[in-house]
Amino acid sequence: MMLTQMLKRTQTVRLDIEQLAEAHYDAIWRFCFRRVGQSLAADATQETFLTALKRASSFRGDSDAKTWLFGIALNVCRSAARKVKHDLPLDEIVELQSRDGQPSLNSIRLADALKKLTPEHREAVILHELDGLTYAEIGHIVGVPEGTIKSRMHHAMHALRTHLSPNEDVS
Amino acid sequence: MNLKEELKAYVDGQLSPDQRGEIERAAATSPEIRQEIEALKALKAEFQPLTATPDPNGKSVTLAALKSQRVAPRPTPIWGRLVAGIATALIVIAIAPEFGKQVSSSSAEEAAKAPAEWSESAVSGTATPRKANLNEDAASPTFAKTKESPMRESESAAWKSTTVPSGTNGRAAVPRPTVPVVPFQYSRDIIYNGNLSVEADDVQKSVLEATSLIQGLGGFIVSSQTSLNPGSQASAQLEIRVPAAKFDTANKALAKYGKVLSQNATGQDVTGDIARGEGRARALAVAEQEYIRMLNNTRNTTARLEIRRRLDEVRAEREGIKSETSRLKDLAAMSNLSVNFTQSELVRPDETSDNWWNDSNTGAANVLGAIGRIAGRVGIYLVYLSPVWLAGLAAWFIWRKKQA
Repeated sequence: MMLTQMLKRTQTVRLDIEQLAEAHYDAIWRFCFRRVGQSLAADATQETFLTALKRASSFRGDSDAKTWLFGIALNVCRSAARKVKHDLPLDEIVELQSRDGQPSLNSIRLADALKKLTPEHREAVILHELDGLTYAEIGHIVGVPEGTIKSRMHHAMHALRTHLSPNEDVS
Repeated sequence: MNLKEELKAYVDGQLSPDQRGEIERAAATSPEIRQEIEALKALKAEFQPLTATPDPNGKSVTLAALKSQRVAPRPTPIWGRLVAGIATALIVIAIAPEFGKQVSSSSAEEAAKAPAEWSESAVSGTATPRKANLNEDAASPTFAKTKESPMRESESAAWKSTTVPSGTNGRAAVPRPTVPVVPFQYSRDIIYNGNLSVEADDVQKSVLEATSLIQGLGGFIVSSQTSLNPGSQASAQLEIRVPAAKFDTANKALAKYGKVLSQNATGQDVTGDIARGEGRARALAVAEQEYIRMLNNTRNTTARLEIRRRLDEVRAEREGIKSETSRLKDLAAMSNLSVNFTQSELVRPDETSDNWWNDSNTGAANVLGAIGRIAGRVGIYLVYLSPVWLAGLAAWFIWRKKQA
């Protein structure tokens, strides 16, 4: 019985990766785009799914499969960014708006402010505000409790407002 | 609860209903908290434009890569390996004695069949699609093996299969029969070059007969040059390509056309060169396929460029080797024979010609030329021999005077 379950589980996980790719490719691509830029996004996304395929048997189901994929994607993007020595492509993200019109001054200032945040704060902000992940999901991905993410978000917002409005008293 | 720290979570909808209720109650009584909430909402709204992204690409490539990975044999779980190991050990214990007898008494014919079977199993067992890795060298074990040894692919695979150590890592020792590596029986590829010089009675006739002979043997005339100037020695030079197997036959047959003045033949064994070239070409073909697969599975531009560069190098080298191997094979398949026919007698003017005017003019000119040449020769002799004949003449005059 146990043997059958193990066999079944192995087979199911393998099938899931392709299904996950069908369902979440776009989301993972956008996630990667925000971290490594458009030129490397497809590469990083493919690497994410191939890595997921290799590690499928180690997926314990503690989190949602999509969150698990984002975790892998984050590591892949970090590794890729280290190799090509490039930071978050915030300028690219801001410039993207110029295709439909002028990027707003607020967006430019926001991107500049984001660059001034600590890596942990910036990561939490982007994962939530741009990638649309919940605090719990972010906690799973970066490996810290949800409360820590909540705290990081609070301090990140405080810092952002300071950078955006230097004269504003937000204390 | 630190209310201020919870406000961002409240705006983001990350609080439980109880926590939300607490925040809302506090906000109802505190303008400062309401103002803070509004500021956080405004800041959150500023992120909205940044969520736009280009349209994702590369989905089909990734799905194809996943499908190609799916056919790869999955690593057997530890429990599976244990069960397989125990089962294999039991089977080995049961059949080992009989198996040993069979291996030792197998016939040469059975042994010759073994490499193909083993190569098939070896290939199927190692055909694991992999993600592109730029650190991998194109020179695979197969590549290196074929570079040094002109073994066929099946032999190479068989060789690899026999060199895999068994019973390692504490697993059940599964005896693998020592597959004898049957030496490949190459037909010798030899480039023959021959030179033959024959004094023939009739050069023209000999050329015609030689052409017919060579064509009958499956060869052909590469070039032919005939000189039949009247008054000079007729000659003809033939460059012949003839199948290597018919080289001796052609040589002997052509030698019968007249008196053999000189004859030599040299041979260059290029069997090893061809085998090495073919082995190298096969290895490069494998490397080429590997690079193509890597190229299809790689999206990184830098990596793709590097793979493309190496692919071009491999293709260029393979084409060069194929071309050289083909040239050697061609030379070995068709031997070169250079035949020189010379006629023993001078060419006579064509007596059957009815162009009497031209013939008369030519004849008269020839006679006049001959007279002139004779006169010239006589004059030269007289000049050179003048000390002799002048002395003789002087002596004759003196003797005559004395007589008078």
